[in-house]
Amino acid sequence: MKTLRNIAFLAADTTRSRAYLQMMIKNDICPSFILVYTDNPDKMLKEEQEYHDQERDSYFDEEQPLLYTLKKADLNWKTVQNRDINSEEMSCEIQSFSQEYIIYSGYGGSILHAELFHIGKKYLHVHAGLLPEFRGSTTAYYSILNKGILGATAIFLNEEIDAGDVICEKSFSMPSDAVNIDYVYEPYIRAVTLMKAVNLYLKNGEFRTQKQRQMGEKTYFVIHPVLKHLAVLKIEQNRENNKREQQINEKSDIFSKSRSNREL
Amino acid sequence: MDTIYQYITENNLEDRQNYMYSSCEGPDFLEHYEMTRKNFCMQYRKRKIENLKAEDATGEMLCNILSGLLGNTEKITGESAQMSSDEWIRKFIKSFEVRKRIYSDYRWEMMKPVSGVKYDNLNNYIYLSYILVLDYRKTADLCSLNCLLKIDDTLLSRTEVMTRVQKEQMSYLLAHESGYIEKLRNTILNG
Repeated sequence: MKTLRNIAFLAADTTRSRAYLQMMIKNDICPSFILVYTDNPDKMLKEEQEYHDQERDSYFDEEQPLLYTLKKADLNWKTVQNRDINSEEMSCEIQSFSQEYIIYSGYGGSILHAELFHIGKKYLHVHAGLLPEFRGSTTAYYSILNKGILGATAIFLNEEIDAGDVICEKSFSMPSDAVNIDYVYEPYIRAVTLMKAVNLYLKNGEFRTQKQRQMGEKTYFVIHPVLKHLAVLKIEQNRENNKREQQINEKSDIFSKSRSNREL
Repeated sequence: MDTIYQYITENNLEDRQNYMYSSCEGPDFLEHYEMTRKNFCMQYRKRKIENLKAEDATGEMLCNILSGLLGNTEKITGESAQMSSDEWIRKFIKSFEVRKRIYSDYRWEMMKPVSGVKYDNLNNYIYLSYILVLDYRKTADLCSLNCLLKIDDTLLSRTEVMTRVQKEQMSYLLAHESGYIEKLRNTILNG
């Protein structure tokens, strides 16, 4: 497995962190250090002990506990009992990293305070939306409603929300199965985009970034459940349409085959 | 029918809804949502919002924006004149989305509530709801519709302290809001 010497991973105990870690391991890449932070390490340990590994036909195994993945891959990691990324303890931990770059996967809604940007580290964050058009919260759903696609953008965080320099972005079609968006598909598309950013880093030997365009930016707020249900309805409708189209294509294939058989 | 629409509490101003990680309840959810609006609209006739009357500093600002949108004034006047009505609408959206309340006065440059002021003037909620109805009709911006749904949930949680006129204005606003949702739904279903 290739170790990213100058990259650490700061991981809250979330499904997004699970997606990131599993995706990196699947691609034979790992950060040189992983710091897991949680207010309940006992719960994490219990989950790890009770977990039974099995083949899952999914985007990633959202059930697989972080500690299980870390131990199984024999990675260099540590747990801190603290959920607050802006606490003094966490700041000291981060400062002690030898790595300059940190893949950041925090708890939902937590925003890094200014002090964390003045300790010589760069935080790689993957936002679940194309920037600058879709800044803010739950943008996957807004993107589905507005454009019929999803997107993710890898950026370096700065003190403004979702306004940092862009490493790369990637668009995704709506899922073709009845997958949970919040807990599976959205973490998955972020993980895929993270891999794109890491692969670019490996290819170029550095992170190359560009400033966000200064037009068309908009900040979205937590989506209302009615709009969320409409977005899910749009995904289901898209799936139905694709299925119907596929059936029509299959019928037309059968028809052309039988016609060419008759002609023979 | 037990409702699975759980976003209207006894008082959303105190029991604030954050709407985060809301669960997907399946196709019935949209029917339940619609019922919350239809049931109310059936009880009260629809009254257009006219004769705007500001009762506090926020009311003045909202009436000013509304007058501009309705074409009653040439331009926004007074303190609000430094920014376009669109910029003010974005400021009010952000403030409501963050706090789930409309305060009777703000430090306007930062849009921070003045300490200790009230947030229970329902006319201000009705005015902002109306502004968003007009704004969504003009822009089709989902940010406006999103905030409109949340303000209307808040208003529906306060119907027991509303006057008859406010209820009729509410009925007018809800008819618009549910009409927008129905139109979006039909667009999705019909491609």
